[in-house]
Amino acid sequence: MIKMKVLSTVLFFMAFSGILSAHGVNVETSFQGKTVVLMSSYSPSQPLADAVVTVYSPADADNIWQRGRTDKTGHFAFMPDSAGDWVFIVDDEKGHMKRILIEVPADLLSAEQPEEESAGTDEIAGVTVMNKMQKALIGLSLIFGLTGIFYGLRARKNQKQS
Amino acid sequence: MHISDGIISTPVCIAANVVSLGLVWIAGRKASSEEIPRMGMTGAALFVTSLIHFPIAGTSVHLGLFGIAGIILGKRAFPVVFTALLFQSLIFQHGGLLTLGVNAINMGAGAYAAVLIWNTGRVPWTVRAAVAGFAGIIIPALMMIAEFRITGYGSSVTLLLLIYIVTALVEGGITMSAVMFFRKVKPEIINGPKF
Repeated sequence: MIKMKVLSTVLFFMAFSGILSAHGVNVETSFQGKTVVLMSSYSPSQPLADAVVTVYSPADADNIWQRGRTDKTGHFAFMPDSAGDWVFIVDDEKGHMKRILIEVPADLLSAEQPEEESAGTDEIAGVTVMNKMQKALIGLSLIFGLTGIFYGLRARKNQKQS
Repeated sequence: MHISDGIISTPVCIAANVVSLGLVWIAGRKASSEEIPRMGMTGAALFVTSLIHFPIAGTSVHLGLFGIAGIILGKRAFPVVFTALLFQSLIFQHGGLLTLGVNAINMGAGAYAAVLIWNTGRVPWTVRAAVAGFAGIIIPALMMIAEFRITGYGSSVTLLLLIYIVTALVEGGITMSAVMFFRKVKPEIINGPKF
């Protein structure tokens, strides 16, 4: 009976696996001609719409270069006027905020064709990145590992005392 | 409900981190051999719970399970909440690292409120469980909203409050279901821990 209840509980949570995804802000960056296009979202199916966007130029990190909002699909675009590290901050004003550094190459400024060239996600391009399920498993492994360590230490202490 | 870095001022964040580490030490020390596995399992549940989220009013909210964590763990809930938040921040960038202390204090307060509510006698267990689960979300939400107001961050307080009231109601129902399950399977889990 108890085994059935445990099994049904596990199956219940597995049913949610289709909607399992991290809850932070994800930002994908792409270059289209001279334009930098950013797509912000909570998850692949939920864009970060109408979020406040603040852009800082590498030439002046103290003053806002551009301020706007993402559109309904979570997109925001700007045309940098210099190469270097641009700072992009997106904030939904409900506690979800993301700050990323966009490296604008010098050849982008002379680009003519609006050819879409993906610069990858906000994670490091060209590096194999883990999906959300893999990260969840790592987190669980760390938690269970820590539990085991503390349990072992406590058991050893109890043994010494007895 | 996880506050990102850049919203709360750095000195406040540092102070909150120091206080949180102190609370982790005080609440976690001398945990027994029986409590440690329970803390680990609850921490794992808190960690994965943030993966289950749903859209409300243009934003994204998720369950917390702070109420049930408080009911199961009592005073041991704070170090578990802190650990779960730490890994959520490190692995999913959900919530900031600098704001870890602030987040832990907010959500730990929710868990401890659940402990107090659960341990009030005379009230039927269904009511206690539902209210504990509700408090586990609404108290951190109120603290977060107050912090936003103090720092001048954010837009509509009313909308934010409505969003978290809905989430807290869902959480109250889930806490009640979980308590019902534990009452049948292993009642000593929910009847034991206190402050």
